[in-house]
Amino acid sequence: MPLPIEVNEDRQEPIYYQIEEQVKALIVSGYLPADTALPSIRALASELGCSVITTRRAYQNLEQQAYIKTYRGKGTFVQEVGKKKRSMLKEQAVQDVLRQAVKTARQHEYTDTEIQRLLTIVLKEER
Amino acid sequence: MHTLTCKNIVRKMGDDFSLGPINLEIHAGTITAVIGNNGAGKTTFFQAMSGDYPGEGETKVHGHNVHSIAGKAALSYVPQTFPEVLPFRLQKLRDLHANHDDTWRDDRFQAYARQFDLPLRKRISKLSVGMQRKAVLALQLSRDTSLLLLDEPFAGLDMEGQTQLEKILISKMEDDPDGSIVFATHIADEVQRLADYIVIMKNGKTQEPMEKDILAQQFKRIWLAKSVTGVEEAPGIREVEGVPPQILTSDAEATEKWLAERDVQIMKRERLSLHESLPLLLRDEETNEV
Repeated sequence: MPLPIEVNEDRQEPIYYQIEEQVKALIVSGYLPADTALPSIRALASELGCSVITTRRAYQNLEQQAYIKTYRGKGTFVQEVGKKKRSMLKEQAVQDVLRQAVKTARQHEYTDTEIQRLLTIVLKEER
Repeated sequence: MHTLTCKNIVRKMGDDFSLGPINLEIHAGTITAVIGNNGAGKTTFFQAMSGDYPGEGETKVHGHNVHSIAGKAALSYVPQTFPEVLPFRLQKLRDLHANHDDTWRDDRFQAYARQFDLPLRKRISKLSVGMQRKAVLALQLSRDTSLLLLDEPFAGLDMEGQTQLEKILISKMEDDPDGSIVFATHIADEVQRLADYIVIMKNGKTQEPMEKDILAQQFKRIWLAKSVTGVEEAPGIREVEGVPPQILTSDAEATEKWLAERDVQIMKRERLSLHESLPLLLRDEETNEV
């Protein structure tokens, strides 16, 4: 089954990192529960149009951080992620998105006060 | 680990073309796309790799010389033209393999024949060009080998056939993580979807394999906030257009460093698709040769 992830060619982060972060998010959010089988590095590479060198690197990093585990000849599976780690990671994911927004605002030369004002508006609108 | 090694491959083809010398190593578990303009020597190179006829240099598949029985048993080769199979019926060729080829996997062949809807009892010469290719692909892919040499395997296939072949190749790589595929193509999309490495051919010679994703990172279109003097001479610059300028670079890292040193603000960056970058690369080789 293809994973609902996509690599954004125009972002500065390397592709393996983008894959890593999105798979992490899917695991942390519970979309991919423990023991779910992940696509092979070859299948994922073909879905995303990148090379197996990149997908292998993403999987190796995820394995090192204990999100997934590969069993030779069987495939790659999602590992159990603890509650504490999960909430920490959620916070990190939200922070990352906010950081991206702040960067855009700074590019347009907004001050901190102006950014806070904009955030308050968005918070109200999204209530 | 290497699936294929070519050492000093040379083929003289009449007075006006010679292949090589080619030195190339293909890693196990990888898919390599060989690209090059018409007449670059791709087909001659595939013939040489497959051991079609002897010549200078040495090609080894998993350590076996390609002219040895063990070498030949380790590779599948789908050439661009295959006059030798045309007079036969597919069933006859299947029987030949089933009886004399230790690598033959009949379950696979039956599956491919069904998938491609291949007529087993018609002469191959009577089939359409696309069907002929599907027949030869079915025969070669049914052999349990660890190296596939495919000379423009998608040429002439209908859309469904292209998708099927792509799936077959990927599942073959999943089943045999140490296997390798080397294929020639003119289609950027096929490179995008299948390849890990790209090898450029020009004037009978091959370049070092390039990692596809590294290549993708190097070619970028960058929008600048304002004009900057001397940008045409900055490292990696291929094109400068408009005011404020939009630039095209084949070495994004060096270009961005140059821009940063001059405090030039970047409005947007976009990676080039292989559709755009591969023709630039192929054109490059031409200008370098002169």
